Amino acid sequence: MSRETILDTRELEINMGPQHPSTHGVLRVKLFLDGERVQDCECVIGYLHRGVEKISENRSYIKCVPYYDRTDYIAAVSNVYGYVLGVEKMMGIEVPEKARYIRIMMTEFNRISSHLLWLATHALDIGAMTVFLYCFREREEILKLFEALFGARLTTHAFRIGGLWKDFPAGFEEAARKFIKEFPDRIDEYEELLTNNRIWIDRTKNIGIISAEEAINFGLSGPPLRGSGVDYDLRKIRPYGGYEEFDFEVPVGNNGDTYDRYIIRLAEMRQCCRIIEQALDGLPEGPVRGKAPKIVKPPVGEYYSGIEGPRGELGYYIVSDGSAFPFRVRIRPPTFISLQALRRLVRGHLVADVVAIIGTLDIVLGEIDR
Amino acid sequence: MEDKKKPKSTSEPEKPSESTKASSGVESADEVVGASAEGTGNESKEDSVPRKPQKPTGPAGATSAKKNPPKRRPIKKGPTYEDLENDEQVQFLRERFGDDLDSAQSFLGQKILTINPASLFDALSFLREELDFDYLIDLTALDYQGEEKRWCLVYHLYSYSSGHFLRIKSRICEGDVPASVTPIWKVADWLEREIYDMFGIEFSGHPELKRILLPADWHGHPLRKDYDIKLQDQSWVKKHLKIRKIPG
Repeated sequence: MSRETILDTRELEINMGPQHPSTHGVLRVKLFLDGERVQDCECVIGYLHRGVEKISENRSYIKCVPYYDRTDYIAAVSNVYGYVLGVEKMMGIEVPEKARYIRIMMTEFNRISSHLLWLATHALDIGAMTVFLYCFREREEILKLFEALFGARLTTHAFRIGGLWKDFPAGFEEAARKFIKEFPDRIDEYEELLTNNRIWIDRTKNIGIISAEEAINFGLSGPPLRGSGVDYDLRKIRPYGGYEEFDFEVPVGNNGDTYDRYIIRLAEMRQCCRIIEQALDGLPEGPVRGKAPKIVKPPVGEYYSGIEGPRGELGYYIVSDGSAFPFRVRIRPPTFISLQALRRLVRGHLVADVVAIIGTLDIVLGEIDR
Repeated sequence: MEDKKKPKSTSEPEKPSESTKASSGVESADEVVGASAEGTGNESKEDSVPRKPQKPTGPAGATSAKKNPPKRRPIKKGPTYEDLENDEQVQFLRERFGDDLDSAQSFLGQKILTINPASLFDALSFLREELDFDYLIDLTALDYQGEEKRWCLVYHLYSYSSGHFLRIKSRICEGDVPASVTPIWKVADWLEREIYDMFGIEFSGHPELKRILLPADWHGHPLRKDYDIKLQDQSWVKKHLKIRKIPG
């Protein structure tokens, strides 16, 4: 490898993590430095490996579901959604209209809460303390909604094969409406603090630039890919679960830098509000639980069910051999693949920028290590 | 998984009355979705027994009913693999690769091409260059233990320009070393490392093929079917976690 230092000084190797707060979990990054410039880096992962894919092969289709909550614990609702959709497709199970709407609504709420956590920690890493507190204030409201509907705040076990566990509790709709009415103003508040802030711009603009072509080659998805100007959103490209009925836009950036990815995520949160509002307005009447057999036994076959999670394309490749246990469930983890691009993104930047780049990829180690 | 099932199924005919009770209990339960945590493993095997609650006719009657199953509930016809020879892209590939394209099918609307491992790399770079499949969504492997061609590599491809989604499969034998696709898609780097880690399949031409999720000095490949779920590398655990005696 050609890693010549400028002043012929010795290359320095330092460890960042696994207990570093800005690595968002147990990620260890070996940095090879020339002074304060990063020459190269190597990610060491696997500290949180629990073998979710192996466990899935030894559980029935229904019993697998809670494990997927725990892969990406920040976006537990979306994680379950992808798997449940895949199994329903293979089984040919019809989900009631109302359940479909509630699912989309809750997934979008989850996207907001996930982006809020991202914004909070990303800003905190870069040094903006106030945003952190603001974001957690709003996130708390969403978690309360989750608790009311699912009975849990983080590991929600949100959706069941065939529909939902139960219908909205009393007062839920009003609370949801109140939230989406107020939330766009809150986004304005964050923007006031950050978007035109000199320090924020200096720390994020032109940091970690990746071109569209390279982003595709690195397999990026979600906001990191859209930041580079690629209009790829599974909700539009391969609509699932009824997204084709909703009217929303996919925000796209131009420069592919950290700042663009920040702008996109904020714009996405506004779009989430639009989707939730439409879902609330058009909420049909009826049951929320479809006819699903007690024992889920998909026919022999395979299906790849990909959804647009908050972090990118989250796929479940389910292979059935006709028995009550999956032959194989492969999870296509969005951030496992995004993190791979870190090595390419940090090259030539300062150590302080590494923190910003790790933040902008929005990684969750629970999902990377599975 | 298979091993665990066998001993149970041999004991099944001895207590048929219990099993009919159990299945009738399932039938009457109102809750559609959440199967009881305990029951699922056993119930799956009772599926060949008619599920309608039937009058217990004693052990003899139950076993005879099992031999020639009467009035089964009509089975809903599930999705099947459909032939895809007339597809435009398939014909294009067929022209180029001939018999190396083993089969072309679709399942639930997703195209699946099976390609001979000998020309797998050529076919993938052909798909990348000529048909513009520029996005490797995912790469994984399946373990068909006991079959001659044990592994199945599965590539999910997507083309931004045409919007096509494609699954490429290739069956290889144990010990085969397929070519790495990292020169075509950089994303394959970690994905291939994960396959190496989990299944022990090596890829030739990979820049640094080493374990990624498990520790470097771990023995065994956990996603193989012959790797039991409770199995772990005892010597590694003893050495690094300083556990003297491991329970179980």
